Amino acid sequence: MGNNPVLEEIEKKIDYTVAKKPITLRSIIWKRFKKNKLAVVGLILRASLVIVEIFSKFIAPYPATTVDFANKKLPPSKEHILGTDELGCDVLSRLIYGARISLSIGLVAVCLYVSIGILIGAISGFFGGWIDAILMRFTDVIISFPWLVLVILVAAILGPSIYNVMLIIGLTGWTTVARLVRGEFLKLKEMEYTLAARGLGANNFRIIFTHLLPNAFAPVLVAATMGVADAIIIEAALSFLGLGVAFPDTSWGQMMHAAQSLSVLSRMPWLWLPPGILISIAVLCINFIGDGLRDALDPKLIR
Amino acid sequence: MRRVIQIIPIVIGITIVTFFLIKMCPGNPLKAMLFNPDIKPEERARLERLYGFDDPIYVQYFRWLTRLLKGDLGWSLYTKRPVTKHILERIGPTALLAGTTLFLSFLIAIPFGILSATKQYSLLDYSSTVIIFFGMSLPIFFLGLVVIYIFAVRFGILPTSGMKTLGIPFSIWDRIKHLILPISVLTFYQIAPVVRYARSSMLEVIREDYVRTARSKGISERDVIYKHALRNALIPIVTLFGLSIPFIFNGAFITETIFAWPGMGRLAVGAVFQRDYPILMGTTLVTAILVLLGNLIADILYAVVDPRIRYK
Repeated sequence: MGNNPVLEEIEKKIDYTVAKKPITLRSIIWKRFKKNKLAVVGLILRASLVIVEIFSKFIAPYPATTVDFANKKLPPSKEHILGTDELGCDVLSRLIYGARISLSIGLVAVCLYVSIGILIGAISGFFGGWIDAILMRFTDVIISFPWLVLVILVAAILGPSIYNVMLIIGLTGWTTVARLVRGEFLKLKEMEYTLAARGLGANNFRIIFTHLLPNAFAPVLVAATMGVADAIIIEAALSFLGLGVAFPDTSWGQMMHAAQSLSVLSRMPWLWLPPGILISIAVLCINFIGDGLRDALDPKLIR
Repeated sequence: MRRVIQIIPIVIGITIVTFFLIKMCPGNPLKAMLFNPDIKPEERARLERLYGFDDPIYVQYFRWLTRLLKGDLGWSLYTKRPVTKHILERIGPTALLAGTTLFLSFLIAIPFGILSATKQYSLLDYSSTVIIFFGMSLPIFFLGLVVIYIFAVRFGILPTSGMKTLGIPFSIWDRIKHLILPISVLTFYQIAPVVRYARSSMLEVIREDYVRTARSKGISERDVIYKHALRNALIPIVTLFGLSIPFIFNGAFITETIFAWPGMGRLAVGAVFQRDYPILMGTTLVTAILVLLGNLIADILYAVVDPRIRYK
């Protein structure tokens, strides 16, 4: 049969690439994500920012913190495309280095609070009873503080630094995730497959991590994406108030701190406009991605 | 009634968290004396005993709590005046700012949300989505700086900061001029979530059976939307009124700092830099309790407006 010329001819014509590519959940989600134009634009812009972050050392024309009093407060020119600040540092270079800190703070802080949130939400939702009651009252207490008040208070305790900003956002932001995970767990633990897993002798640990958590993942992922956007804004706000990242470390919010004085605000717009615009673009991108993810992950729409 | 009782443990929790956070803050007035050579160690110990700093922490907490219940929040370390007085002074301007914002944003956002839901995928709907995204993404202090730059520095039409022009007697017009910029910035932020909420609530209602019934009875589209759907769509929006309070506080804190508005936010931010912990503790406590009251009012309003909800 192998040397039948007709069959070989047919064999050649069959396009195996279609059949070989299985339709996975991931490919469906990706396909639906791609339909949201804004989300794709957001993803591309965000990816290019990541490249800037990684290669900041090579892209930046000057080191970020070389103090040069001879050339301070220069308006944009050929040597300094975006001018220099009050200490003579090149604004463009500081923007490029600042990208790394501004964007990574958001990521680290969210990883931290998603972990705390999942832990508290999972324990609360899975075990229920008095554990649930205590943990949820505690969550209610934390939610009652407007986040900025809480963040400022913790910032006053820990003092300004990059790592403290990550810690502050991480320690105060977990409430939404905790409530989300708890809600999902309450629903999921009544499912039949949970009962089946228990029937097969799985212990609580195994049920939580291999059966319940993956199924509660979608809303957490969306919340985390939006959370990164919020975290970048919180970092910027804190640094702007002078409670976050402090010189010589550079973040976009910290660069805007100078604009608190009216003379900088009115006479040196090149100092505070670019970082402000960049924060807005970065946050906008992430919100677009989050919105696209929410639509793509919505199980009601999966066919 | 049960909701009111449920709130008690949360209030206690708030006081505990605030107390311990403040206790964790570095430094207290007696520690500062450590470096003062004129004050002998025995003297310091005597003062510590006098102020109760050597008592176990829970004793200190309960002592603080009983004073709190009498309305005594302590004294500012910086101005040496009672914290309660400071807060009472500052709560008015913040309330003015927050209240006007709340009112304006709902006035603008609800029709916007309802209309964009009834005309889904129209130009209006897309533009409201864009506004929502910008409201979510622009840092509030950045927008604040931009409007100051444009309206106060470049064109000089509006004042940059404060509540009144120095040297002239109080007039309503002067106050309004000072209010315009901070309020428009805050309102812009408050609009985004309300539009979004109103839109999704209206979209949900439009798909309900009774709306389809109304349509099939031959009632005009206008009556269907405004008589049948709108009222039900407004129910969940009522709760948003109470839930907006923490959001407004966050915005007001930053807006007050930028516009030098003499409210609670500026008091708190200033207290951080002066290490004035009693003030910080007072503002934290007051805002948290206001938020809690907001949530409670939202819940009660919800039950009042929606007969389907009954708290047992």
